[in-house]
Amino acid sequence: MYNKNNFFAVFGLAAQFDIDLSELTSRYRELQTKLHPDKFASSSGSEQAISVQQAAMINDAYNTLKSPLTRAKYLLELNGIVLNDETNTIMDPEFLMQQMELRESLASVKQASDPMAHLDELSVMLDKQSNRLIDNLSQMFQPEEVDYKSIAAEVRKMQFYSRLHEEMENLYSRYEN
Amino acid sequence: MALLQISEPGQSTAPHQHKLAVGIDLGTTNSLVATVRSGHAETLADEGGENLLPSVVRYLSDDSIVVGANALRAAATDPLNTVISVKRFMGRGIDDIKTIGSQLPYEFVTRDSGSKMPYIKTIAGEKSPVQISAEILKTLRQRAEKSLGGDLLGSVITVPAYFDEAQRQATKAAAELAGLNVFRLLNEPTAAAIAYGLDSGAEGDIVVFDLGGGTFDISVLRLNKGVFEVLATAGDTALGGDDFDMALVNWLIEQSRPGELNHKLLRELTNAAKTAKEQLTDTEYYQFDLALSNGVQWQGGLNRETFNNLVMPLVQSTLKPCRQALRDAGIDKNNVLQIVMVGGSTRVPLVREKIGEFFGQQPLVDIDPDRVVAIGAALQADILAGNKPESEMLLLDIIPLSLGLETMGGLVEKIIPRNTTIPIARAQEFTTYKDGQTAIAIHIVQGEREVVDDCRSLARFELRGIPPMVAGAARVEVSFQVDADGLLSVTALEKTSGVSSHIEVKPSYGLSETEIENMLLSSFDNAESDLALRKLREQQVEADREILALEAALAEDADVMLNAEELSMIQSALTELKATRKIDDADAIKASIENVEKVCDFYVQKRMNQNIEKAMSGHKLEDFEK
Repeated sequence: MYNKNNFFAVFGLAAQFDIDLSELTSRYRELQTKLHPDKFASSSGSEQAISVQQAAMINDAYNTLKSPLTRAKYLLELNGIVLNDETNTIMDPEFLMQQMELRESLASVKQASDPMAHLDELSVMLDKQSNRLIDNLSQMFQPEEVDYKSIAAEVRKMQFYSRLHEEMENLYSRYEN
Repeated sequence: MALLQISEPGQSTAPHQHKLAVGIDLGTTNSLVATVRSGHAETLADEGGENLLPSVVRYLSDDSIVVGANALRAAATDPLNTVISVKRFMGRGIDDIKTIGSQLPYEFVTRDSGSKMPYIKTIAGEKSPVQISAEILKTLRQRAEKSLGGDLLGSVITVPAYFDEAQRQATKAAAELAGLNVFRLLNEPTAAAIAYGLDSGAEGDIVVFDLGGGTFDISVLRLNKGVFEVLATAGDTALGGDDFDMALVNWLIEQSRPGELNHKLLRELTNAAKTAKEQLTDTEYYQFDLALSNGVQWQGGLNRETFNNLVMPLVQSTLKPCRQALRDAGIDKNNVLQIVMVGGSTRVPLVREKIGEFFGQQPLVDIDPDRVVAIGAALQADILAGNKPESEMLLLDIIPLSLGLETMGGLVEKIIPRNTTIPIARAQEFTTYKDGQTAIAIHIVQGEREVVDDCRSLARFELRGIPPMVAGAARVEVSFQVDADGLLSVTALEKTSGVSSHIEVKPSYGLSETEIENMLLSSFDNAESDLALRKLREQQVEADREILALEAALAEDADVMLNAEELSMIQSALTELKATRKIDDADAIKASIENVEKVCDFYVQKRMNQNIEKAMSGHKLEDFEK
């Protein structure tokens, strides 16, 4: 039976961290081609309403699985771990140090002679470091007995990067033109 | 309710009957209506053979209304009663309008203290932007009905991709006021992409650059096997050809020194500037020969280089949204497959040149930039009407601006970020901050800034009746749902007590239901009876649709999906609806339809679930069982 509580099942994928993104995308399109409200525009009432709900769920599922961070969080959730209590987590000091440096570097964009070049440089570094985390996660999800606690710690690190990334986007918007 | 026909969408009803549907481009400067006839999309002309309808409405003292070219001709002599570029005021509050332009000739008023909805004072009374737009849409509706020889089943109305919630609501209200059934609001650049993409069958990422009379949009789309996925959109709802004209008017004022300005003079100067701008598209030099109504005369020349210098800052300011959209879409400007140009202002050679330079390739201008949006909208309307059941074409559009809630300290918590594919539903939990707090105020905002005051306020409502608890114990879940038109509804639910509240977001300076009803009444000649007749017709069409679809569904799978009791329940509701359909009572038909929907709800759900399974069949079934 189709299980709406599992986003992976929506796309006929096994619930695991390593997924084939192009397969995800093609199944997503296939589903929307059949269920999107546009296919019911000349129908009415409850049918349209249900189609909106279904299409919204499929969009939500697709967005969640598309990005490694939300996908990892979702897998943790499926395994009973919810990450929302960031305030009392102890982060590894080396990582915190690295984050501070990255933040300082972001802050120094204001003084840079060529802010865009500075941002580009930072962006490359940020991508490299967060890609390394993704590779790590992929490894950690591999074993028979997955250590979800350690994964949770790693995912928290990824959240730091995701926030840095957002701030960088904002800076890009500000310094263009 | 028309039960789901997933295997063969739209085919349940009479398959050979072509349903009349139109696409309408409601533009700042000009509007158009288009339709698909014998498989070919074309814009419809008026009796004089003109396709473009100037978006100009003139009110006369005898309450008659002139729309289009005749109204435009009167703009200089009767500026106060002739409304030009009304699109710029759609969904705007009185405060916004003051910032749009100090040189507007109109006198704006608000009606009551609570509403910020602006009305324009005319000789025929106070008119809202929604009413004025409805006149334009009505003219196009009549043109289409005459040309196609029948009532329209539905329409697709285009809006700038960067229109916010309030502007979309206002547009939809105007269409309803004009007696149009709206299948969908469609983003203008997406419409243009359909017009190009369906033709070429191209696959890859395309950029649509849409510079119209009053708005600028940039959209990045990915085309793959008939699926049009909008990846990102950005723009400026207050930048367009009108600003080019204004730059030129300011230059003209400097040069010709026409003395003290009034609305009439300003209109004359604007007309002269428009002509010069258009001429300079094909020529290098334009000779002014001004004879203004105040007796001032001026002759002088303008070459293209000077013109380019005047509008350069405006053209440059389109590049920032381009970069933003590319970054949001996560693509490099060198990997763009095609650049599609839309909107009359893309005829300006400097615009083409700068955009070509920026993307490193020549933009496409094959389809008339004035008509391409209407043509795309007509193609979409044709599909939504069910005229092309075999079509695999699908549009996945996005919201242009983030939607969020005000939280403590006047900050914004984003619930749905910009560029999220719609439809979408998201929920977030909040809690109380005081002991014994029994109500929670919910303020819905739209925009990218972190502070509430910098975002657009969409609506406010209160969730009351929360049982007194200690601070932080209540669990209020606020759910946002955005439908396929990009329109929002919000629900709040206190989970421990089950207290809930719901709002369809109508912007605070938008129209109330009664206002819409009043306008509808006053917009029809024999108000009461026409409106009643229209309501009845609508309900009858709806009833026919229900009956046909339900019968088709029952024939298909009643034997496997329903037990005897369920089947007889559904059939008696259906019989009742058929009986009510025959009497001329809109309310009774409506009640009957609602009854059928209620009775069939479980059946629709069941079919929908089965259809999802069907949609996924062919994939590894064991995966679904996990």
